Amino acid sequence: MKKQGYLLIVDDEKELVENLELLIEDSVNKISCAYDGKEALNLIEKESKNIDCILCDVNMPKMGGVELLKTIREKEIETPFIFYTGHGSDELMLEVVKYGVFDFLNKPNFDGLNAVIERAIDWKLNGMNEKDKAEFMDTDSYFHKITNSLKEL
Amino acid sequence: MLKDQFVNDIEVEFIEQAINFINEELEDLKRHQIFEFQKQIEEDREELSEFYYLSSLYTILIAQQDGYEAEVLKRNIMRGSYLQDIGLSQTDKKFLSVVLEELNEEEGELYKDHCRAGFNLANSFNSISENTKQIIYQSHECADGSGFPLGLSGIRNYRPALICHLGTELAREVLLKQTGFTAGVKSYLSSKDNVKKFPPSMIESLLDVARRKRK
Repeated sequence: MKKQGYLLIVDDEKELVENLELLIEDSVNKISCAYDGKEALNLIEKESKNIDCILCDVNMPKMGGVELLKTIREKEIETPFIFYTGHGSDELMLEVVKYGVFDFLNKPNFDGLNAVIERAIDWKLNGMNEKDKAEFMDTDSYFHKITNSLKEL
Repeated sequence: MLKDQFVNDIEVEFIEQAINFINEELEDLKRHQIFEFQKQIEEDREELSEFYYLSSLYTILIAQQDGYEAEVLKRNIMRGSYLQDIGLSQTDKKFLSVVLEELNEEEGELYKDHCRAGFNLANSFNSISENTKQIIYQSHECADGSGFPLGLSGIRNYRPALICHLGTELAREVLLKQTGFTAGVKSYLSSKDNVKKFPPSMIESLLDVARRKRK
């Protein structure tokens, strides 16, 4: 996939953020970093239309990842949100999915990091949420389109 | 052994690649401790092994068409699909062959508990990724909010879990009617209720798989 999009990384571990930047820099055009949820929220509120993907840790001071996600969803900001988690944070992960998580990555290996981020950014830039919503709105017309497609199989 | 009729109308290279992938991943999964719980559910019943195999295969076909091409992403999805009912090993196995609508309210709530039970069980194994755990947890969710355990919809859904749900429903349709893949797609999508469970872009991915017909 081509290099595209604007990624926000949110984590209080600066060394980890630097490592992630190095791993991802060939996949995205622009990377910003925030070191706690409150800092991230300020940035997202200013630049929500421009940010194409948010990569976020779960546990952070001042405002954790779950609260950040919940807050931006309440503001109807639908930017793809990717969580990374170490093993064992089960209650938090059961809680967080109510607010819409695009995908998950697993510490410490971050397997599939670039693939997941590229997919999320591509999704956002192609307006896939809006396309799905628009099609869903007119269900009779949409179902008619499906029926016609089935006849062609 | 998978019956030829369930796959023989799909483009040869596409289906062979998927079958090879599923077979390799399944061999690997069988070496994991978590598979002991899957064996408890299957109880050596061939029809159940066939069901989970076919669910995983159809899920991977849809996932690939939907853009999940990286091996690690496909692995997570395959595992989530194959192990989706693992929570039933922690509840009553009588729920294995039931239809939710036939259960009374109390039985229905007990049945739905298997999603969380499956997540908690998978969470006790370090080798199972968060992605796989979430697929196990959300494999009964739908895009229109009619699923469980959370009734998610729209952007709240975890897409790999929806793909698993679609692949599984298609496998169920094909096995019930003992038909081929294309006939199964036609039959399943002829119901408006089925169509609206999944996002339009995902239905399109399924149709694109069906369009990859064997020449």
